[in-house]
Amino acid sequence: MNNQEIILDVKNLNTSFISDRKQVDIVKSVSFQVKRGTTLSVVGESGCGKSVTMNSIMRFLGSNARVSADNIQYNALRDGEITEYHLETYKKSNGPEMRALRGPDMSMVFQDPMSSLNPVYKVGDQVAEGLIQHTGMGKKEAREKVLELFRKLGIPDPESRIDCYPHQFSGGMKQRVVIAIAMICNPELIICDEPTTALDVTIQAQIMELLKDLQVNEGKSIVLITHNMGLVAEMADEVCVMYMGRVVEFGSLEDVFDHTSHPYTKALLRSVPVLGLADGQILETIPGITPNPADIKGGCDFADRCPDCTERCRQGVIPAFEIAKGHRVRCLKYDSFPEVNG
Amino acid sequence: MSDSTTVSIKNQNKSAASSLLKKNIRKFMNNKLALFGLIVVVIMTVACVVGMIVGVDYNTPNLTALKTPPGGEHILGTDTIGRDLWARVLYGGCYSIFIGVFCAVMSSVIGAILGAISGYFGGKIDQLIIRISEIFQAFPQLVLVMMLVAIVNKRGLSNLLVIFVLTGWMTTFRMVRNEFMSLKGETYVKVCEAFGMKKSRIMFNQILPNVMSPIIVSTTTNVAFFILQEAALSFIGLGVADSTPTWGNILNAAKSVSVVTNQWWVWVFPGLAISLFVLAINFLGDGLRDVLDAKQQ
Amino acid sequence: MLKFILKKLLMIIPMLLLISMIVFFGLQMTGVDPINFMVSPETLSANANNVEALRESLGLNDPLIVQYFHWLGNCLHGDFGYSFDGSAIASIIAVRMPYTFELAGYSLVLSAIIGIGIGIISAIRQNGIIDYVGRVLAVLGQAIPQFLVGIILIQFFSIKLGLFPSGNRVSPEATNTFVDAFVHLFLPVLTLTIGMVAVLMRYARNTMLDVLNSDYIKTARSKGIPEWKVYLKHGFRNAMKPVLVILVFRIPMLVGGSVVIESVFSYPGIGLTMTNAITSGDYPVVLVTTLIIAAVMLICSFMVDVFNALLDPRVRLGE
Repeated sequence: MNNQEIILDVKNLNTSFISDRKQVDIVKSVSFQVKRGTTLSVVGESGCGKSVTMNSIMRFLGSNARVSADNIQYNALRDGEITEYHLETYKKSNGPEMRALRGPDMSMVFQDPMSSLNPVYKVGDQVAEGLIQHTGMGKKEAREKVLELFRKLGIPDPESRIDCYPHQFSGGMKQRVVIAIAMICNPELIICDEPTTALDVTIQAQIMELLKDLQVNEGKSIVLITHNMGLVAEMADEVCVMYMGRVVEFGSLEDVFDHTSHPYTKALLRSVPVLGLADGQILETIPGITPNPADIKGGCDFADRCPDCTERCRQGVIPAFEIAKGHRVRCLKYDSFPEVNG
Repeated sequence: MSDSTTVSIKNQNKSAASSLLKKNIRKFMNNKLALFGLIVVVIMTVACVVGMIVGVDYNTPNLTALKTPPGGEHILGTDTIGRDLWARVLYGGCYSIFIGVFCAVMSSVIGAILGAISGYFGGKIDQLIIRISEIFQAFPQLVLVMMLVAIVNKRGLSNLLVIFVLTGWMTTFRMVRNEFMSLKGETYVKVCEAFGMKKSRIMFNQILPNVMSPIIVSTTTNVAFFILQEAALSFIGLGVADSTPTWGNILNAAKSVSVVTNQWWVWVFPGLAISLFVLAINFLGDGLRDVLDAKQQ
Repeated sequence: MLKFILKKLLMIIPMLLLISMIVFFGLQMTGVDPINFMVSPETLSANANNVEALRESLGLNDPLIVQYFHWLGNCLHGDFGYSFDGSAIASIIAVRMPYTFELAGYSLVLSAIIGIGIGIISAIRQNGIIDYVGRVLAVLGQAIPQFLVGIILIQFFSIKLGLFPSGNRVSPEATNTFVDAFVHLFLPVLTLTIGMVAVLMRYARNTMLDVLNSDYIKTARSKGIPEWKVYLKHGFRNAMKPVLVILVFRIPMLVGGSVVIESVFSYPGIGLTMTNAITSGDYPVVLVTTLIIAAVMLICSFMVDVFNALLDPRVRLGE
């Protein structure tokens, strides 16, 4: 695979937080790639480090976070030319290099639209702000662009809504504004951090459709963070399953859904509620609880909850094995396959 | 069988409560400043009370030793008319701390009761109490106290206590009222109401315990506030009568420029005592807030 | 918005009426013969024989409630009566009120700039040097009684160094009024400012920290705008509102503080007037000064509401 095909290449990303003078590792040697023009879904239960991983890449973490990586490479495609950016080399989280990328190249849609908009500014101005920053466009021209985008995103009556304040919008409309903020500079890569978790189910579907449209019609690359397996099945081209800060399984949608290999992924898929559960059929749950990231011990993090756990699982670092091309699983059951980094 | 289960649940609750208490105590102990505050407050209070019980002589002037600097017979020196400063600071501490604690506790009690009534019942009663508190708040507290001192026209400890309590309940009141307003919508309150529990029982036995933590914290910091308030009032000569020593009354001597220049010990020691105590109380209050404030956990 | 302001403004009137009532009946409770402060001493001595007639003509034999409205009418005309030493209270107020306004006003502006400034910087550079020093100073500033700070400043700046006068507002031989005002105001303003800064700094820091942790700051960063814009346009603008409210909320503290500080520096403002009036039992002056201070407080709280509304679209648009 070359730079043309891969838009984001992350190798061995580690993130830890310092709290009470103790270091807690949240993301541990995470590697994945996002292919240009496709959707990568990052799934896992709450607290598994999905959001932290993406925030580490965008460098949105506070000063108590320590991020290190062998490689965080973003390949921009402009007029058929590839420009490589090595994000891990930028020292300052909010320095000029990172800021130049945020908006026109990579942007983010946040989880909670209620709190993601600044309550004291008109939504139109908030959307236009990034555009004016990056293009030096005049206010009037920017307003036209914003109106155009609002129309495209299905915000009704954009001419009057553009001058409203966030509190006058419903949750779904707010999320459209948040998406507009992310889209206004026409970035190639959009990271969506559980974009529909805070919304009603019907609104969820609309927003997801909107994102799918953007990806299909405009060739955007999307990273979708979610814990909703239904969404994954609908949206994803590739899936990255995370557990306790590690990628446990990575592969195409078919790989992960049809040739599910890691015991955790299997358990996760079994615990998805299905409409019309037969009488007597019980919705399965994953036994045990998610361990506290502060209690570090060796071996596989899933060992205590895993039905196939053996003595070997409790020692050392479990490597990932490539069981098919592009399908990597971090489980000793597959140690006959070649070991890979990731 | 039912017996054994109830006992075990009770025990479980007990052990859960005690482990929470242990955790809180540990958390408090880890907060060095709060621990420092607690130790200083305890030491100073004990010293003052012991001084009072032992009956140190704070009032007899030693006419042969006017304005003696610290050292020798008088550890902290003597004031302008030869009274022992060490004894006065100890005795004054008793009064100052008593004023602070009494007023803080009483105004919290009044504020909590009014706040509970206002927040729980709402409507006309609420409006009435709110208006009253707004009128009280339209005055700077010190000015209000001064006006009342003028009306009462007598400077005594009990008058001061009453006036402080009367003018100090508003902040607690507002806090408790706001908490009650949001808590009365909770399901558990509705359940109590559905059971036909008495309103006063719901207010004070069911809702109030949930507001206790902020009340305790604000009472603690109010102790410091009232001590400072008394000192300021005594300093301008409107506090407790001069015959009763308080830290503020002792500092009153520093109104004269010659004392400020020539007898530094007369104002430095009581000043240090009051500042140290207030500092310690503030640390203690901050520590308690960290431990008790559920929102931060 | 206009309706909102008008409504709030109208709310002041009943409050003031109520306060004036308390003040007036408080005055009655002190048992002072009101004729002493309703009529100037000259008139009183000139009419020594027919005091009773004067009483009747002034309506002092009317029921209390009638008297109250009479007194209120006089106050509204700017006639506050006479102090026990015979000077018209209105003229005392006219001279001394501006002094207190100067003292409190400068302290307010100065402490707002310093306190909010340091607070915001401490929040942005959390755990930096400014943050650390600021926190220590805030703790000390809140623990040392304000008048003691004043005494220490006098001891150091005016007695040891001889830089500033230890009291009063004007020197008799003053030539340059600006310099004269500056040297006299410097220490009292500094004293009041230290106390206010301690409170404001801490509050501004915590508010700004809260704001900087909110999601919309992350949204702002995701637009790639420079950090100063994130802090000022998105952070500060949102932290402004609660900080401003606290600032105005603290004005009573400032006025209360200036009562004490005027006493420390023998600064001839309203506070010192009031303190002296209380110690000498000059009730008419006490009550009028109290009424004026209450009126100022009410206007301040009215201003909080208006500011609040201007800064918050939710209030501004009346929802």
